[in-house]
Amino acid sequence: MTPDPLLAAIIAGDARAVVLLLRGWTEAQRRERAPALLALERATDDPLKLLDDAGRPHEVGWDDRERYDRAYAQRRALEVALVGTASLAEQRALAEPFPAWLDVQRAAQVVFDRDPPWLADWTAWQLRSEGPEGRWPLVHLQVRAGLIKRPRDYLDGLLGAFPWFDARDLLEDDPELLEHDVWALLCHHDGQESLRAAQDRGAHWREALIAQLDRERLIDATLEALGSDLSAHRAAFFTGLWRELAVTNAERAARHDQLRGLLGVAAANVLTLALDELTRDPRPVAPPELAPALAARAKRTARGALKLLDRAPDAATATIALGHPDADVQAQALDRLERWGLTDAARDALLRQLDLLSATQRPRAEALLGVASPRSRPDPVELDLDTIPEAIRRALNFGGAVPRAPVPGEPVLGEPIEPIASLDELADVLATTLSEPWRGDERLLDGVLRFCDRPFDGPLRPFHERILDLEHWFFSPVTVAAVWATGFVTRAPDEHGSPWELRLYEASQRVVRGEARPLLSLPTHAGGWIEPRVLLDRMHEDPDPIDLAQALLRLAPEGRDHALRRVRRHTKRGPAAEAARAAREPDRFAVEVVYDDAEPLNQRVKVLIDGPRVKHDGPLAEYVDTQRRRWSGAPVWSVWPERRDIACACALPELLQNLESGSGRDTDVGVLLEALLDQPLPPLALRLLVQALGSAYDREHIAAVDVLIAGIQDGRVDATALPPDDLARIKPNRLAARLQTVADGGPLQRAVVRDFLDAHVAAVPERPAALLVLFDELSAQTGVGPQRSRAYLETLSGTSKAAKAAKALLARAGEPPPVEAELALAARVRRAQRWMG
Amino acid sequence: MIEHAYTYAHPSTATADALDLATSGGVAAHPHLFRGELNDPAIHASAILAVARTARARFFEHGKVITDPVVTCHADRIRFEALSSCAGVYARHDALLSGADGEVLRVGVTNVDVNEATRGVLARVGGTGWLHLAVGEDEVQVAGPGGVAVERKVALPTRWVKGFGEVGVASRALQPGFELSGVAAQRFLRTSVPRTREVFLMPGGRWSVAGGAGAVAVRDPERLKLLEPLARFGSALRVWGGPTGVSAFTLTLGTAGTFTLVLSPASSRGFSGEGGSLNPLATEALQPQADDAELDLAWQPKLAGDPAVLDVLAARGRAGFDLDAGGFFHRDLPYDLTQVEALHPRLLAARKLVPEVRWEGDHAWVGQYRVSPPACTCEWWGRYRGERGPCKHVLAAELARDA
Repeated sequence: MTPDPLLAAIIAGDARAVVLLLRGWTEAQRRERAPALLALERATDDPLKLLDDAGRPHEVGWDDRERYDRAYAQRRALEVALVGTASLAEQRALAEPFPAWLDVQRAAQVVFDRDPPWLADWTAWQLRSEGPEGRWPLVHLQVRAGLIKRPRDYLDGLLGAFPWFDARDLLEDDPELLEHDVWALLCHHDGQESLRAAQDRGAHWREALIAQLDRERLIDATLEALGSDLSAHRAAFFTGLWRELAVTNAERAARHDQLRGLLGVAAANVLTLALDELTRDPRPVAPPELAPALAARAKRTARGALKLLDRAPDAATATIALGHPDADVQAQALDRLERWGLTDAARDALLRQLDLLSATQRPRAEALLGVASPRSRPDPVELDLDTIPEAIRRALNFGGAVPRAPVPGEPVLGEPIEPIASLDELADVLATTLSEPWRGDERLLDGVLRFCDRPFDGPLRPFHERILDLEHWFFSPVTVAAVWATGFVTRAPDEHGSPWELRLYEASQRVVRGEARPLLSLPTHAGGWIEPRVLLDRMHEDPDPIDLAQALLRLAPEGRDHALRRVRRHTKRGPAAEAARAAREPDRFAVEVVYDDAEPLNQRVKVLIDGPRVKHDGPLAEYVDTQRRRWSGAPVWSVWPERRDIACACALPELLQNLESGSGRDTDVGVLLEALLDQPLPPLALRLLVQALGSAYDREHIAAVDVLIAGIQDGRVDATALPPDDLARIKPNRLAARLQTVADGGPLQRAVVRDFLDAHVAAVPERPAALLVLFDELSAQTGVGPQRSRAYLETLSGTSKAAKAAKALLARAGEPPPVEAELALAARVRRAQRWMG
Repeated sequence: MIEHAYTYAHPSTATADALDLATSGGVAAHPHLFRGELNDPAIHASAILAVARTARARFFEHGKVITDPVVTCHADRIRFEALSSCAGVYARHDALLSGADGEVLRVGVTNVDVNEATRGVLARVGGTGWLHLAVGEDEVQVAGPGGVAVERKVALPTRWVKGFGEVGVASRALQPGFELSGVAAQRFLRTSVPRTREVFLMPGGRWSVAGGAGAVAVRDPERLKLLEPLARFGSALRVWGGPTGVSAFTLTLGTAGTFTLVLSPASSRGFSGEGGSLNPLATEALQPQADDAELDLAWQPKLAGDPAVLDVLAARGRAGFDLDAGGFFHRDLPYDLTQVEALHPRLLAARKLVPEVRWEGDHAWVGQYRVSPPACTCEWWGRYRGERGPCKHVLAAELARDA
């Protein structure tokens, strides 16, 4: 171990110790040490070397992470020592990494302590370099040295300098910051940076402020900041600071007025904090001041405000909480009204709220008002069943449960898709696609193929130059258009090429030959279907095999067998043959979803697809062989519409993470869900929909709600069709909120959700309260008591929210009114009418 | 950037029942527009705060902007308006003066200082009673050697100034969607807003990705959170939409007034770049009519006349649009508006391209681009398909045809 403390600090990689050791040295003492340090720099540089305890350098490999990190820390401490000892010229002569590796914060401290005549030049030099740590310490150095005034973004720079620096060290090393800058930070609310963001990056500002600042002043500054109309994000720093300050009763009591002032702040977290603190103080709060809290979105806040209101009862103010959608909050508000009695103002307010009160609470409100409004029932439905052929009625199981999809014979074609019909239209589509040329759909590809025997000219001429400038790292319909413009194919897909890339390559070769033909596989209708007679119209003598394979998988059922026979001679081998067999006998592929909850999340679901072996690369192989799917977990939803259940099964594992996470990520499952809006819903599609209701990703659960509302409305979904398999995997609170939205879709949707809960709420293993409360609400709305869930409900006892809801449910009785059956039948009639065209 | 200085003779001040707003520029250096008592102090305080909050809001990364709300005083109402710092959200509070015990001292426009301390007090205004509001002061007290107590020189981004004009034109093009009344409106504004790019709002207040009859497209709806603090005051919420992806929400605040929030087609798209005002500015035939119409401007709360001409006034920064009233109102932005056209680089570029325009029947060539108005073969058209106004080639072709 070296006896030299400076060298020891360098060997320890402790730049802060270097700063402290050099503090107070004369310039002569510094210059005396410089040569040895410069020599050490040369000895440890390029490649970086590690100093042992005696100060001897040793080689260190890049792959030896621990030794390399130590060497890196030593290097940074040495550089700080050089800034504190070497001349400016000597520093400039050092090798290039010097300014880039520099510990800017420590270097600024050491150079400020040294106060050399070249300080301004040194700072300017360092400011020009691209260090990893931000330049704020240098700007601060200039400000401290009186070289410049504080720039406009000075405080943003201070906050942005983290996480490279720890605020605790910063304030300890530089007490001058405490005089002005830190207090200014507490009022710095409109900058790009924020204390919240810096804290999240690990800057420890809260801890530093509590340790270094006057407590009384800090508490007041915190309250001042919280009252400054901050966003909830920024305010979170100060709510956290308040909590970490552990304010005493006396301190809180002395600030009662300021805390009351926070009740008007928009940020929900500030409001919650204010309520919590005011609740700890026994003094009442004037009722009008509680109005924002009573109107808050958070149930906890509204309930807390009602509790505070108990200290200064005011019935009219309590009615504000009735606007909350949660029945429990409404119940607590009604508790107050029942205790305190109605004033005229409260009566008026209660009347205004009556229509939107929960059905479970409405009788109490009506009793208070002395009114009784009849339960609203859906209007009777007039049905004309005579126009529906008996065969269709039987196929759709009129009067019974929704039949399992697909129903043989039921048409599947959605809205027609018109192909591009002219060069002008093609130019229009190309103009749009060229802004993102790696995209482009089959309609554009079809357009290119239809017109590729003509010159790339006329309305297309303006695109010629841009197409020639295209990069070549991707395949897309635009690259096929480029082949048309240039006359040659630049490259073929490699052995990992996807079926889509292979199709584009096929199309490119056809374009080179100038053989204008429509794309066989362009869907003729929404949902990805091709009308079989249209495929026959498009067929020619020399179909591209992968294009044909894709087209066959898309054939709509009606007329499919006939079309398959007509194209038989083109489907004798290769991917088209396999696709033809699959199209003819789609049920030969079986799909099963197996969960193993003991596995990690990304391996928890296995999708097992069993069926004939698929040997040839092509759309079918990618669809049914998960090993060959290279780019995404779930296959494209439109590859095989007849077996979209396979795509749905493959989407289930993709969704899992969004069931567990708080914010969710885009899994592309939303696109599949949206495609189901008017399509048959086989059991796995319904399973996906139920699971998507629990997704944290907004687009997914909103799409699932859309599909379920539409599916119930047009007779594709009823309570018996919705599978309960995944209820254990979905957070009950989320599921309840989304089911509530489905139920709000209309009277039939309300009945379906109620019956679904009745049938399956027992399958929810934990925290079923939210679902039971929803079930109770829907039962109250419809006047129907629980049927299948009674035995389960009787097992719930105690005082929990779930038990209370169960008790309320058990007290309800009543059979579904006949009008619900009529509504269900009307939905089935709509489905039948679509069948009939 | 436009160099602009907000100069206030003193900072704005507020107490629980009084709001004294310092003014800067507009119809005078420090105009004194209104003094009096407004009913519903909590509503007005919350609404003014919501406007100020919008001005400070950034839903997309842009540099820091200090954007003090613009206040226009008409005979019957005071309008507080602002664009967000990212220029993608427009907010306006129309405070009705009927029932107020006050005096409109002067109609006109100004900027007001809503500083941090004022915001803090406004957040605490509640309850019933009256709010004493003063927009400006009789005698401007000179507080410092520089003659002003508050001066903020800002490089006002052109997008902010342009954005006001664009909002007016975009608002006029909106169609009424549906209305949520009373408690339903309050409940809707309190529910969580999806964090998704493109979504529809269904007539009952349900979010949908599929849309449907009566649905209004709302892009980046999380910006609606700006309305949440006003939810409890809402007596009706009207939703407006249109084909360009702009959406608007007008929240009736009982008899106190109306709060308007207009959302651009994406949080990344400030109104300034939407280009809706380019056609009005580029249509030569409208300019003399607009010049004439300007002579009649007298701070009317509702302007009469040809909407196309009024679009030009809006584009010039001289009129705003009141969705509920269905008409433009006179409001001269308190900035230098003489260079409005210079703020529109697309229009300037189009004028330079005019000599290159060759009309051939129903289409024109502008350089290498083929123009069939409103379509063009350029990237801009391909990317936005007219959603952000005409491209420079279409503008040039139209200018050449008009010439």
